[in-house]
Amino acid sequence: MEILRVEHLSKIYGEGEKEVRAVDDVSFSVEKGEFLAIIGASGSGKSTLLHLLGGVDRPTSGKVLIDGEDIYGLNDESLAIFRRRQVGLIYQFYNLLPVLTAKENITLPMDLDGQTPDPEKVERIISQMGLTGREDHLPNQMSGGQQQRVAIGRALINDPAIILADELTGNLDQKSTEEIVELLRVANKQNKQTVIVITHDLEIAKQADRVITISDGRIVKDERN
Amino acid sequence: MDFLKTFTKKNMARNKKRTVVTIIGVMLSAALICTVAGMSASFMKSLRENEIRTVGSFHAQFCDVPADKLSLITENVHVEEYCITSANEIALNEASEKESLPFINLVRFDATANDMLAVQLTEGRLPEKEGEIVIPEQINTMCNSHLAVGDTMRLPVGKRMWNGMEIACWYPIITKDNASTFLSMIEESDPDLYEKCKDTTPDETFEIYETREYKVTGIMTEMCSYARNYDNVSLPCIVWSDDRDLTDSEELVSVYVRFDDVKHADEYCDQIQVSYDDVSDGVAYTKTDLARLNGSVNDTVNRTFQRIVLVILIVIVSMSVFVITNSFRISVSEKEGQYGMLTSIGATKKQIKKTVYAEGALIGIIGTLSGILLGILVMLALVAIVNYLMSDLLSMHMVFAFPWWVALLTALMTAITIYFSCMIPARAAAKIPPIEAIRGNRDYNAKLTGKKLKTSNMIRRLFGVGGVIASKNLKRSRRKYRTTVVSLVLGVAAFVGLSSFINLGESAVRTQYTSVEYDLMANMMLNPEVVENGVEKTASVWKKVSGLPHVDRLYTYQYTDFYLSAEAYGSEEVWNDPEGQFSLGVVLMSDEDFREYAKKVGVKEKDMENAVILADDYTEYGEKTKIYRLTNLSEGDSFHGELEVSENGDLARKPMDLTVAKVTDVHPIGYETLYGGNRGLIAVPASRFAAYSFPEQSGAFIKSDDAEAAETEITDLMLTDETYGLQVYVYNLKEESSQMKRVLITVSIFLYGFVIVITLIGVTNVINTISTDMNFRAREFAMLKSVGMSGREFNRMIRLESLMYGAKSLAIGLPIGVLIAYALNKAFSGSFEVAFQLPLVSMLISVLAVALIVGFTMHLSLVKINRQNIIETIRKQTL
Repeated sequence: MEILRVEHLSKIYGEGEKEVRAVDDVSFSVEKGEFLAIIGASGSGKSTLLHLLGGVDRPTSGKVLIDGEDIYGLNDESLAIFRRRQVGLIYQFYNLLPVLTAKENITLPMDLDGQTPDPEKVERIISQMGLTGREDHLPNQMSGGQQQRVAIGRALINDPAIILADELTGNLDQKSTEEIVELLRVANKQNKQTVIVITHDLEIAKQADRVITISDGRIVKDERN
Repeated sequence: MDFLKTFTKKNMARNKKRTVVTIIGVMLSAALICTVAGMSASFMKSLRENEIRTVGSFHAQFCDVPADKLSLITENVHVEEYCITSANEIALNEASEKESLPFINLVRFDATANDMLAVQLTEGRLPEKEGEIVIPEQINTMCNSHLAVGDTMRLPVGKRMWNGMEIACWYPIITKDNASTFLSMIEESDPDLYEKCKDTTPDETFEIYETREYKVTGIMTEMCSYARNYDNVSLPCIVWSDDRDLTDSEELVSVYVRFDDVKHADEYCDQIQVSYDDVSDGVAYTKTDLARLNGSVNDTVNRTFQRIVLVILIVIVSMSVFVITNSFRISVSEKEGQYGMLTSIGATKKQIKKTVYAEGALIGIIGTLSGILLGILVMLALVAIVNYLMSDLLSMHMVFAFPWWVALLTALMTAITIYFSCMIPARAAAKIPPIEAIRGNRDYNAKLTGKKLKTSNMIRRLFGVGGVIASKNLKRSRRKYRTTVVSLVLGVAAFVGLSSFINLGESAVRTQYTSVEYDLMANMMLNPEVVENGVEKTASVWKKVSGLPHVDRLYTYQYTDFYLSAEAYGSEEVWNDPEGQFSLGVVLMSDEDFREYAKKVGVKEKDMENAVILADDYTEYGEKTKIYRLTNLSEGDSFHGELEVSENGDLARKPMDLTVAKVTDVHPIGYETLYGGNRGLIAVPASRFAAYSFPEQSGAFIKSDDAEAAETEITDLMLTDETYGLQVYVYNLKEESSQMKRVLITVSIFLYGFVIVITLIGVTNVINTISTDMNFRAREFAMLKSVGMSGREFNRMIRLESLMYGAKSLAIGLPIGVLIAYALNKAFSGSFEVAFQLPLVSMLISVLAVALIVGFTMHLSLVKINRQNIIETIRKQTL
């Protein structure tokens, strides 16, 4: 079942001679439960593509349909609600709120939705992320790997339709990288969540079901592992 | 919403310093609002209490009310309380050893009057039954009586009669010598009586109809002014109003009322007045200041005062919004990454805005409560200062008042301040695109280009790369610094302008009141109905004054006018007399004083007799001060004109020719006081015109060795029989100067206090902006050091930045302040001439203050930055 469809998506900066086509007429689709890796050189447009998929940046043209919904047809309020419920975004630099504890950062999307998090669920996610005993720590009291796990936990708490991860291991050591990738695989396999990762690490890409290669904003290769 | 509260509180705790500084700004604003509103309430309460203390607790007085028709007032539904007095009885003042004040006016108070009407007792109590009396202390001091509480007075009560006619108790004594004045009054009003009396003009008589004994129960200094007559022949004494039934009485009484709803006092008074039209000759009413102070509807003074206070409050709120907005803008900019991240994970714009408002609400609550407390403390201090400096000048004691509405108004206005301060930053926070937060672009400004940050080569040559970076940073952060520069500019301009205003006042006091030649001024009034040979009598009294122990020198003068023809001698561009005539002032000096003055200006001895000295320079104040001569006369010129004199109580003009002995611009003593110090005049010895009487009072400038003692001696002299019919008003210029200085000090405290607090609110903004910006750029600074900038070069760069920043504030603020000072000088130049001077001292203070504020804030930030580890700072997360 198709969970994501991208149609002729473009993101252009500047005009005339200074025009930069970060994403250039990209079209593809993703099945539910798929683990997709998008690879490409630095400046190829892969991060821009991911941000467009997550609704955090607006395209110059084209459509992104998630579960049949054209996300760029939504107004700002609806798009925000869509993001908190349907998308889990994980960034290279964690982007945790420095004033909230690990547990508070994880439950943030539910708090924004006005929901009361199920304590058992929260406990399970904390345990899955290996953060037991660190629930009340602030980000500056945790290592990079731990912070990234908090970011993953936050991405998973609302059982989103899609998890989007942008170079999430770029700041981590090898051991942490392996642990993080494993967490994503578990989320993908056990919870049937669709995962799209941006990476320049071919080892991570090998573990995905499918790899799309981007160059100069265009898809140059789309193959299954 | 729990998350939002948590998020807000935690962020505020994380940035304690900025939070505290913002709270201080809000607290100062709230304190200022509270103080302005509270002091106005205190002032009004003080006025009300003073009015009750000195006049009484009533809203209106109805006069000449028929005693048998009182119910029209007393049974009016809106009359909450009333009392009745009558002052129709008169008795002989047999205790008096003085010719003046031969009568006692018996003022009857009922029981309610004792409560409602103000009486200042020095001893004893008010009458509580028939046969008791309260006497004024003047009965002893002015009449040489020796009455005390407990003494018994025998008072022959009766009527003043003249030619079979009863005379009002307040009318001056009628003798055969001055009866003509009385006759002229009744000639038109009562021709029959005039015909009957005109040929027989005896002295008045007093017909006694009863002798009463009164026991003195109290001695008073003052009583309610509405309840007594003011005349030269009687003293008021308070007696008990007997319990007689006034139902059938034809007596006219005064009724004092207090209404249930004072706001409609005018309406009720009019209604009552109209109700008497058909049943009496009409009653008159007077509304008291107490009614006005309690907000009677038609009172414009109250409304004007309220409007002034409201304008001041709006100014405070506007300025506070202007500076406090920046504090919230800084708070938002610090959390840009967080807001972007929140948006990226699904926070709506409304939720983002709410975090900003939540921070505002929390800061507002703390700031308001602490501000109210601070405001109360400041009010207590100000009330104490005003009482210490001004209670004798104001003739009242200021009381502290803090009605509930002051706290409510402060809370409301602070809430408005916070709301408007948060509005723009909240919208800005909601608009932050999540992608910029993800990219870690903290200095998100899409419009920034290299061209906009271009700096002049001069800066590089003079200050090196540090200066270039400093200059570029100021250009980059234009908006951020704009508010802080404006805050400093406002503070500098207000301080320089207001200082000059205060200095202007001090100069005016010095000019007006400082004279080495005299420290007292006296004006003499004489009552022509009782004083004959006024000129000789006046001269004799002045001679006595000059002989008083503490009087060193006396310069007497009499002044009148001399009319000239404009075509013949006038300077037409100056004079605008429609009849084509203008006048010079005439100063009639004593012979001794004139000789002294004449010698001073260079009149030769041979010209001394019949000399006329002309001092006709006139100063026209305006954009350019011009000095004219009012006439074209020269020494030796003769001129014709008319001297204004008094003949039989009327004005008359005597034609005569005068010859100018000397033209001078040296003025006689006291010139600046006569005519406001700017009028052409001629000076002559008084003996020259001894044959004439003059309409104006005579006066004297007095040099003493002890101004207060001399004033007392003169006042005592005027109480003797020799000075009967004459009154002298003494102005202690030294004391007035001291009073004016105290007024200036009080005004300075209020004005400077206001400016300083407003400036401090701006200073909190300055501290927030600078320290936050320094923290914001910590990674930039660490990077500069990591690529090789030495500590010395780095410190120099930061100092350059604070220099540029402070210099910009001063470059704008000082000229504005000087302009304000100049404008104030010109505005007041019509009242008194004080040459404009650059307010150098206040300008210097402003420069030092700005240097201190900016320099100290940057220095503190610099110390913190220099302590940080370079690589750790670079590695720090963007959030």
